[in-house]
Amino acid sequence: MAPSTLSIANLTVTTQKNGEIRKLVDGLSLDIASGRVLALVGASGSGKSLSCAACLDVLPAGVMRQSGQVTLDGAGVDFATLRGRIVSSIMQNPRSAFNPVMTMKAHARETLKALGLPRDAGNARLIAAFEDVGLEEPEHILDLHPFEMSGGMLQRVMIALALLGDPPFLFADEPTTDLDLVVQKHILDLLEGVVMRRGMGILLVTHDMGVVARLADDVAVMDAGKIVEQAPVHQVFERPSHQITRNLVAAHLSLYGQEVS
Amino acid sequence: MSLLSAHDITHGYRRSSLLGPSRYQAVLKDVSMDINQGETLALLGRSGCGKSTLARLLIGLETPTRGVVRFKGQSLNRLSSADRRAMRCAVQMVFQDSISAVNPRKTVGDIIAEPLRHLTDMTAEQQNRRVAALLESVELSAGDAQKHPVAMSGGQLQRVCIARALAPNPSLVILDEAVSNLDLLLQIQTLDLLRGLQEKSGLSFLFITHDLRLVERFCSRVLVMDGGRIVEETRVHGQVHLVHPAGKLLQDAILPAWPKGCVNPDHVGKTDRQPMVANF
Repeated sequence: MAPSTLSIANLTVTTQKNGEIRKLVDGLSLDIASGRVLALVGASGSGKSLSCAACLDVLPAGVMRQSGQVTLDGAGVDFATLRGRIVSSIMQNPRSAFNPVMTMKAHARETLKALGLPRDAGNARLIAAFEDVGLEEPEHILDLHPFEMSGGMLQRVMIALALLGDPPFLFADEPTTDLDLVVQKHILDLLEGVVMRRGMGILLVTHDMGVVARLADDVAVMDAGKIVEQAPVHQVFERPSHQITRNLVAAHLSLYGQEVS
Repeated sequence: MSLLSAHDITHGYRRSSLLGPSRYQAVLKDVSMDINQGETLALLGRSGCGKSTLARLLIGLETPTRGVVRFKGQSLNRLSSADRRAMRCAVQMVFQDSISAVNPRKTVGDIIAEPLRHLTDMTAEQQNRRVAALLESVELSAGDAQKHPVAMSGGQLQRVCIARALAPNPSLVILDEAVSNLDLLLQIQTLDLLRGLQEKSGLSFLFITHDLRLVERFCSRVLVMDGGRIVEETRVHGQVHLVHPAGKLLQDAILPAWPKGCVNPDHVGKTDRQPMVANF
């Protein structure tokens, strides 16, 4: 039985500068439910991506996870066991996430190996995974290098690889920021399909309230390392309570000539 | 007379390969366009449609394979050195990736003063004063001149690039996806800032983007590009309705303003976007 709630509690991430400890993420708590999309929004530098990285144990050098607990359906687990099996992730810039001298097949085999799946399960499984994310001519794509592919194709491959191990949760860190709007639409449709068909729970990090409006069920707003408001998406758009949230929603709506109520 | 115009430009790149013969890849096909004084022209298109290549040709970084670019009626290839200098002052560009567009070892003051050193006869003292004024015009403080790029955020650095472009008092600034890397709040602040500068000085902008929402907010005319051609041209008065399939695709890709099924009492039944009326 797949777990249905991933809870992160009291996550604090710090860095040391000139002997002084600074908190980059301060006591963050989130519940990610399967079949739902939780959007983590905030201005650049508010600690969204670091929170994600801290959960997956991929923090940059010099940044430490000081405290935090993670539970799956109430049972405590170790952060180190999350990545890959329970939570997989997709990153902002697909081009820098791939090794430029490796083909897509080599990347896929690496993922299968890391997951402990039989590497020679054959290409059939990979082709099915690629088809699943709407890639055309999957057999052909297996032999391509990253430079031969567009950003949108690479992002689709990244999603396909993230889904290979069939993890119950997915962390998507600004998955469409570098893509053009038409490709962005395809990727968001694809992620919506993943939630509907597989009942996956997604933590979506973004600064674009349009993406939030399109995909999210719940929203957590971050500012300076803290969550300042957490509510269902309708409430955030209709009745934002915190000033930071109001600013985000107002900026977004002003593009449509509308005002926040 | 138009400020800058392109006449039947065709351009391409030769892709060389270690194996096999090199191939010619056409990027622009018979593109004609012009920008007038004081207008904000948008160049809208998907990635890879040739927007940035066109910008590089317009500013004279490359020479088109065929066709001609004219600055105030004169072909860029035939400018005298004095006219070329005037053109370099008059047309400036802001690039998408601000971090790679500045020298990390220079201070912000040096970065902004660079066009002044090359294009004007200002003394060091005059340059410093101009840099301070420019920093304030983009809502940074004069003290930031001493900082290095690493000490600034992405939004601040993009303003530094804008200040650098404004330094030689240009009449046209080409913004090549200049706000796409910023978060939405910063994008809007930056555009408002640019519009304010335009109202003061009658500057023209060529605004290269793939986001129709920003076009509606900021521009007076839009050219839609697809596959190296300009496929549609229309004036912007509030909401834009594009008819070419390439334009429609971009229009359909605009994200919703409200979450699905949102029941804001003020907006029931109002699903149409009603953008701010831009300058025209």
